[in-house]
Amino acid sequence: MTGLRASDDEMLSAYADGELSADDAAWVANRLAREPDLARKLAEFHRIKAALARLADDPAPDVPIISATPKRRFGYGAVAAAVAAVAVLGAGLLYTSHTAGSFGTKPETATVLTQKERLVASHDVWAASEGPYLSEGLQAPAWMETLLRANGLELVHSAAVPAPNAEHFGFVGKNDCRLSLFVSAAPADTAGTLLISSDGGLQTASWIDGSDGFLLVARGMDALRFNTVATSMHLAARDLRRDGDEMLATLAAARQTCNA
Amino acid sequence: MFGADQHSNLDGIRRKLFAYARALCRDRHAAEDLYQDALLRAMSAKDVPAGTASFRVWMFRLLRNLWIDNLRTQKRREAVLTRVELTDISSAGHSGNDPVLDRLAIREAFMQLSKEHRDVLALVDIGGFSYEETAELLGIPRGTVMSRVSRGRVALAAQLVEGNVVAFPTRRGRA
Repeated sequence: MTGLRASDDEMLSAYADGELSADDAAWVANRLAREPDLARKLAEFHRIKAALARLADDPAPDVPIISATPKRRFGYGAVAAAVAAVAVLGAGLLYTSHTAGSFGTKPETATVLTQKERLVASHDVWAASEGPYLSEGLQAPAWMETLLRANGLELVHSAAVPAPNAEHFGFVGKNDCRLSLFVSAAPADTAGTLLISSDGGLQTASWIDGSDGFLLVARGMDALRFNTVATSMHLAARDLRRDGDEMLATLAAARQTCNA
Repeated sequence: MFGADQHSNLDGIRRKLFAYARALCRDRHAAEDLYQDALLRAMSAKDVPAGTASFRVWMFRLLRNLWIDNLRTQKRREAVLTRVELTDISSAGHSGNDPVLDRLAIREAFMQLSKEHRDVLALVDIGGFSYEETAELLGIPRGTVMSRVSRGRVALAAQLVEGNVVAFPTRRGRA
C-alpha cells in the first residue's frame, strides 16, 4: 500500500461506497486493473466497510425508556408522576396495525378491543342519566382532574364497570357535554400511540400505557377540544418529564366551546 | 405525532440507530441512555416525518443532537476529542476467524478513532447514508464527508493491520 496518496484513498473510499461519478469510477477501475497495491487497498476498504456494517447486527435494547410503575392504581399524587410512562422500544409492533376508528387487531390489545363497545355503552347510559355521581372509595387520579378542569370539565361521576373490569370517570362541561374516561388493565410494559377516531358523532381516543389501558369517550364534542383533551391526557400519562404548566397552557389555548 | 407509520419506520432502523448511538458513545450504558432518550423525544414530538427516508434522517439527527446536547451539558467535549487512555490487550491474540472477536476488535479499533471520524463512518457504513445525506445531516460539505470517510477507514485499517487493538477503560457515563 505504499506509494498511494491521500487523494487515492479518498477516490478509492468513495469508489467502495459507489459515490463516484461514472467518469471517476471508470478512471479508478482502470487504475485498479493495473495497480495491485490499489486493488489491495480497495479490498481493505470493503472489508472495513462490511465489518462496520455488521456492528448494526447487535440488537437494540428492548428496555423501557422510563420505568415508573404506579404503586397504587388510583392513589395518584402529583400530576403525571404517578402514572406509568413505560414506553417500550418495540411498542411500534403493538400499534402498526392500528387503523383509524378501531383499537387495532394485535393480540396484545385484544382485551381493550373487545371492551370498547361495552364501555361506550356505559358512557351512553351515564350520559343519559341524572346520576349517580361520585362513588365512594373511587378517587380519580389527581392529574386527571387537574387536566380536565383546566379545560372546563368537572369530575361528576366515578364508578366501577364490572364487565369489563374498568373504572369509569365521568366529566361534565358547562354546556352539559359529557366526557368519559375508562381505565382498565392492559398488558404490562406496553405503550404506544394515541388513536383518535370519530364515527357518527361518537368520539373515542385510546392508548395503552404501562399496565393501564385508557379510553376516552364523548359524543358531539367539538373536535378540537376532544383532540386536545385526548392528546394532553395521553402525554400526561406517558411523559413524566413534560412540564405540567406547559400542558395546562396548551389546554387553555385550545379551549373551545362545549357544543354538546 | 408519532403514529403507526412512524413506529413502522422506527422498527426498520432501530438496530442501526442504536449502533450509531454506540458509535458516538464510549460505553454501552451511555449509548442505551442516548438511544432511549432519542426515542422518547421522538415519540413526544409534534411534527414527525412520515416518509421513510425523511424519518430516518430526522431520527438520526435527533439522536445526534441529543448527544451533542449531552456533551455540552456534561462539558466533556474536549474529553471526547481526546484519545482515551489505552490499555493494551493485544496479547489477547484475536485469531481473525472468530466473528465475535472480530466484531469486538472492530469496535475497539473503531472507538479509537476521532469523534469526527466515528461520526461520519457510523452514518455511512452503519446507518447506510449516502455522502450527500451525511453531509446534510452533519451540516458539512460533501467533500469533507468524503475525506473523513477515507481517513477514518485508513486509520481503522492501520489499527487492525498493525494489531494495535486495545481496550479502553469502561467508565460509566463517558460519552
